[in-house]
Amino acid sequence: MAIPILEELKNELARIYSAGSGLAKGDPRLQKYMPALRALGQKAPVFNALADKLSALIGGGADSQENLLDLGVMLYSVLYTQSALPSVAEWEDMPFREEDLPNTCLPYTEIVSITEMLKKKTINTNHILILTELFNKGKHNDPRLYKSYCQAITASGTGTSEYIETAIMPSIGEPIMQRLQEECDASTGKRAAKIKKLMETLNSKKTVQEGK
Amino acid sequence: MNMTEDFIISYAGNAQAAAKGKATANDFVSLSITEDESLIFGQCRGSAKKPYSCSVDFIDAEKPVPRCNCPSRQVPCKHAIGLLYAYASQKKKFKTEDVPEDVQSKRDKIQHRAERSAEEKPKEMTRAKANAAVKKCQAQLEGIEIAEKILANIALSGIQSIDAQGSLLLSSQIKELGNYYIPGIQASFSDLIGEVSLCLKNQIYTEAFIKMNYLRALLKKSKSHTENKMADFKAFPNMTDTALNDSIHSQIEEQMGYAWKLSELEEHGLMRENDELIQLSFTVYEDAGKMQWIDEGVWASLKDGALFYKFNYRPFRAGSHVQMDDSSFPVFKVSDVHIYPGELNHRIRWEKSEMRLTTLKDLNAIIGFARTDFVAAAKLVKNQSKNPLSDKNPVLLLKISSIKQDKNGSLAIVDEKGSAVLLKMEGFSYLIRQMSKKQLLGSAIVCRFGHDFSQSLLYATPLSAVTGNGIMRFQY
Repeated sequence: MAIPILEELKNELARIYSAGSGLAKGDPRLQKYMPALRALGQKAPVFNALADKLSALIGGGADSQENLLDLGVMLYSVLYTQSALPSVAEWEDMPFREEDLPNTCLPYTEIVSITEMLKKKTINTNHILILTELFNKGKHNDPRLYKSYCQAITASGTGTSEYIETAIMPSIGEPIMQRLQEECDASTGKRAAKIKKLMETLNSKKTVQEGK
Repeated sequence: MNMTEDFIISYAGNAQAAAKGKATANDFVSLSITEDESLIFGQCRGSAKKPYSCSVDFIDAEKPVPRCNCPSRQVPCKHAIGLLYAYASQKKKFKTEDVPEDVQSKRDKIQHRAERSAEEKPKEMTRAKANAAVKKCQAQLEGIEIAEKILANIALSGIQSIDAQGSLLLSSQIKELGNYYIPGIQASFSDLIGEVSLCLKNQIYTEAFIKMNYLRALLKKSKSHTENKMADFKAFPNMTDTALNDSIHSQIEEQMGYAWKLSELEEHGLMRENDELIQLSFTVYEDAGKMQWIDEGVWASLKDGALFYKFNYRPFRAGSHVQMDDSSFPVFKVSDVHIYPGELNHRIRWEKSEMRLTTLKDLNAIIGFARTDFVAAAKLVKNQSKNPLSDKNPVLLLKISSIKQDKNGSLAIVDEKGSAVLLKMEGFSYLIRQMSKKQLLGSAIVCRFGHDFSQSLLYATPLSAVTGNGIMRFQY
């Protein structure tokens, strides 16, 4: 019962904040909340305090702006206490992957610079050097880079995309397949076809590897 | 001296600075080390005719001192970082030599300064200082009165009345507040004006109202706090401490714009000794009101699982002269942790520390500290949030018993008793769906709480997950 009234009162106050506190004097839309707040106030004193502040605001006067601000502060304080946890009785268990996802291992500055680099349309040898160094250190498998790898494989400037397809992605293996599938589902035409072909290549390499 | 890449990156401040330093590692024409291994030094080729003389002094292992005569203002400079990389990879090339004279003289000066400050008596309050403090409080009260009038005018005329001209007038009034020692209040007004401009474009006013409410509460509390402080100083020589409790147990001083000195925190006992801290999450964001970048780290204590913030502030106008922080992976052993006044998540700082690698035992310790009762956790969050000046988005560590999803794909983490917290997915938190059962169930998730008023729901944004074999960062 309490929550809908507070939410409605919040929206009415939004109108007053926008238009100015003078508008609140004798306002019937605010007035209609008084009886309900008083009734609730019999069980919890905080609603009486809200009703007092609202009454002062509706009454008008030289300090309408203070009354509006004080009512706003009190109302939001009460609203913060009303936030509840959801009921999940009818929810299902989230499905899990079987294999562990590799742990994140790169710092902020590297993630940001590599992500920006992989967005570029013009690729140069320096970019390949950076990726090679990352691969040689074994840090290429940070899952936060998977999206960027997938987006870069169809960028122009073949050097980087080739390196990603032939070295980085096979090394990552199964964890990146889900990401590739999502990219494929979201793509059309040549891009989708390229990603599909890449996934087939990776799958066949995996089969050969397992066969050994 | 065990020199690892993690240490060097942490010492450099961020991976980019470390990479620039690494590039100079092969430019050294001479490499030396003292017999006790407390100092490494060398000559590095640079842009000048003569090589730069560079050293890193480990006489105090918790606070290595870099020195270089290159023109860079960065500390440590790339040559000092290069020297560390050279030591890590080419230790055998370092010749044993005595401490150079100039370094010895600097060591002596530091020693002398430390002995002198140990002998110094704490600075006492004098009548002149008390009078100056009273004058400052008076100026602050004048500024608060002006700020109250500005806010009252906005409330009276309404947000929609603030057009481009009105916004300019307000901005000049806010600029005037800079004369009254209340930079925090000034920044909050700048924040509000910025928010109002956004609101007038997208016609959604909720954030502007919340900021107006915050300002109302801030001005009220600032006024009463400053009046108490003034009364305390006026009572000199029989000073009272009416304002002290608020000063050291709430954030009012910082919210008004005061910058605590570490020595003041120490004086008030706001310290933790001999702690081990590990970073669980990192991010960088813009504070338009204060015109600065903020590097924010969430850290956990291995002693008791308390979660802290570590901030690095970089004013826009300072550009690249202030070094950026970065994600950090080792455990930091800190003898003196300075704690800023706050609530659930205090801000911390430290000057000296030693590093060690994070172990599985550390991760399990963190998981052991995670909260298993989500209802109690929610109560803590709501209790803090109802105070208008408090942080509405505290960070807590929650233990996952199970994860549920609804028909729309929304996720919720569930505790042992079946209570659930709705997850709001941001950043890289989509990775949760790609983790295994073994990784997630029984792990601890670092969550920043938030309130959805439209649905009266409490939700949590996952920042990272501490599993049995590592930390999955959903930010950086």
